[in-house]
Amino acid sequence: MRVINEFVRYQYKQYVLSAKYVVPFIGLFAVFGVMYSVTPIAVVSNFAVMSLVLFMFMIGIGMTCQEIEPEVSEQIIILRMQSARKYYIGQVLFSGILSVAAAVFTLCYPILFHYWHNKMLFTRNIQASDIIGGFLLMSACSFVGCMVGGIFSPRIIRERKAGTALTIICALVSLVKIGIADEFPVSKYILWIMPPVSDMVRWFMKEEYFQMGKVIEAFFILMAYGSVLAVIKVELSRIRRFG
Amino acid sequence: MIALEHIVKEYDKKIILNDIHFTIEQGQSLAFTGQNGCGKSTLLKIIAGLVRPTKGCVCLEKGKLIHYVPEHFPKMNLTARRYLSYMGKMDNLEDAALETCLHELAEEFFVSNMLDIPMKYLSKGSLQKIGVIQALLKEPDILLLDEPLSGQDVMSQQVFIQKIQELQKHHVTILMSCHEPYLVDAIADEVYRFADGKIVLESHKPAGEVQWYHMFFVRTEKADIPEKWKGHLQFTEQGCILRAADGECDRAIVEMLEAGWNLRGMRCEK
Repeated sequence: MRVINEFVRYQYKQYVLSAKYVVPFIGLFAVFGVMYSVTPIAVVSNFAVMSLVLFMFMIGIGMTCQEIEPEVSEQIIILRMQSARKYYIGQVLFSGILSVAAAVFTLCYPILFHYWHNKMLFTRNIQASDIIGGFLLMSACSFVGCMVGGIFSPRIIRERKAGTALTIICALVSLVKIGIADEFPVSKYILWIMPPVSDMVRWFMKEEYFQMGKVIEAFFILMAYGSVLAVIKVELSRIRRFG
Repeated sequence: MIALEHIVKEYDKKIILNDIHFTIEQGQSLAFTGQNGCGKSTLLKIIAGLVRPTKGCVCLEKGKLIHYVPEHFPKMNLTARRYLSYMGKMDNLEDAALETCLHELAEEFFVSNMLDIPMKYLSKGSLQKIGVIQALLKEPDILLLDEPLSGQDVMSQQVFIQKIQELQKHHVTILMSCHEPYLVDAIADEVYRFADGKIVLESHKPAGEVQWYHMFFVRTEKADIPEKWKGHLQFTEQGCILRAADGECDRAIVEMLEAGWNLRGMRCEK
């Protein structure tokens, strides 16, 4: 466990020094600026929409996470850890930590903004259930985004441009899959494979308060989806090796 | 023991390695030579399990620690100290032992003053030294060396050879791809040459063969002859020539200097 722990610390340091997160963060701040310029807004629907925004943001983060480690250094560490599986599980853990951190940040920003501006941002006071529900929904969407961003990495799809194109297609279809399924009902037999973020978020768009039962169900569905992507990523990376 | 069983590797339908079949015993030191792009590095990576062969398989006992010195160590944003520290921790070294080991290796390879510089600013030779140091932090079972001396200064090359010879005494298996004849000569038990996808045994040094060295000493006024080395000396007009085995050279020099002789030269018998 110490080995994976040290590897996650190493990845964190590498990622922070790489500054590859700057562009996705600029995008996230731009969305904050637009989203919170008009007040008042409903708490639950805002947290639901921000979960979708976080999903897209974390796809960017997930993609940049794949680029921090030079191939040679990856080989050195895999040999040192005596297991490629441990290495890629370490990567998934790091993605999970980033997802939680991004969720905390995205949740705290509007709450602090609300109290800083004399409770003018939201239509009502923030409750504990809003914080818990928002955190679970955002963390899960964030984790799925990070996994989608990593699944078409150069280690799995050697052609970098093709990997990027597939990631973008996957992200966009995930957002509009409900609309596509309404227009072409037969497409739902294919679209189920896409990340279920918009399906889950739709549950909360018209809610005034988070219902914990629904939140927990959505959380587990999203985490299960993210975990399946994580297992696919770990195993494909391990099997494909370096050539 | 490592067994390579009928290894074939193709890239874009071009056969790089064609039916490579041999075994490597624990503690052996093998050198692979040949032109650039002939498959030396690929074979090392196949042995390490980093590259999948098109056909055949590598049988390697589980739990063997493999360390790898790449031909081109990458530039990174981390400082060398931080990078090596993480590598040592991933090797399960305790903090104090890691600190001592890192300090000693940095001193020996003349990079102590570069440890706190981000690696992206280091020269190719210095980066290569970091690549060597990370592999020497903990004694591995198998050490893969892919052109390990590229860009390194002469003094560091000597230190490197000395370090590898120490590992050989501990029965570490050394597999090396390289072009430098003196490195091959100093380290390898067997030399394989790559040609047309096949490998051919080019030279073989019997196990236990010892390298002998001749050291040239001149006499000072108070010079005495150490009892231990009397049978190894051949006297000349200016002084004497001492013949000693590789592992005894350092001790012989110290004792001769203490006995009042001055060292003026040294060469390998071979």
